[in-house]
Amino acid sequence: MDAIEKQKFDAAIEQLSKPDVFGDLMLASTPEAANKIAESLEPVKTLVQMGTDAGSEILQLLPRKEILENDYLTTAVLYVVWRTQPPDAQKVLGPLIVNGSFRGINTELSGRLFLKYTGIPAPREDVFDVAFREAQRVQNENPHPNSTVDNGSHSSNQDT
Amino acid sequence: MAVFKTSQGQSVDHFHIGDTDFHDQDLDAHGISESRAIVAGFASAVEIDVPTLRFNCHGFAYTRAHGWFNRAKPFIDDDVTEIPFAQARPGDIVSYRRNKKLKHSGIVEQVSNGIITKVRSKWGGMATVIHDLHDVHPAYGRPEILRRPNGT
Repeated sequence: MDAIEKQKFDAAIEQLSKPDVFGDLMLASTPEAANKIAESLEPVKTLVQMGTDAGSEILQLLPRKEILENDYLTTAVLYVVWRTQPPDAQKVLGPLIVNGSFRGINTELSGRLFLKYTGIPAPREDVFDVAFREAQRVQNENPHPNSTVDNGSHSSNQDT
Repeated sequence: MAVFKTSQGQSVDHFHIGDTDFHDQDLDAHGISESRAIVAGFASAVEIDVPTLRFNCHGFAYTRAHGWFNRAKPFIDDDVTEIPFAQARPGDIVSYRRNKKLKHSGIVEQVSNGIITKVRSKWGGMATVIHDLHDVHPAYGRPEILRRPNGT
């Protein structure tokens, strides 16, 4: 990502972080509605248009506590990851799923996303349970996960 | 995740505040204020119950606000029967769909000359409101199917 692209990315993230922008996601009662609302948000459109580079950047932000503690922002980030298909999505999402970092609608959205990257068809029911088992299996095979929840200190990663 | 059963004994996963994979607590004053600001953007919407994360639209329509349900299909399969919109009456359940996928549920509040004029529904993590049939967020789609709770 060059300097201009980085500037565009940062501006989109800053805009997305404003309650009057992500607030519409409060209207979502279901994972499907959440995705429809996320795709209508201007900064999300910008990030999706920027493609895989933006997806990789935003994926690195996902484990941060300030993102995970804001369910609506998390929904928007998961949507961008879903649309941009960054290569490390599975490695970042797996530990977060196993650690129980997602809540409510985001449990299902993250589960579907993870299964998509593992090539496992998402079942109609129990998406998160299937994703959790697979993420746990992957983590057991590779006990050095790429992501844990970042408490924002930037000095270490810390599970919550 | 707790389990709720349909009239036919089918288990339906759902969430309550405090569940490990759901919200730790309900909306605070700031969240309620943000929620109300968004609802204010819909001309016909009148709040009848405070914004809360305790239940969502499916929970409100199919379980008397028992909890937050991401899926309504088990209830649709077991607890309700599809009827024509021309036969609508208060208490029926409207399914809002987009691209043939269910996005929102609401309860018919008022019918005038065979036309649904008001619907009562819970808007995501926001308030429970009474609103015109079509006055909802575009993400909810359109009111496409009407169903009546069995035995009513």
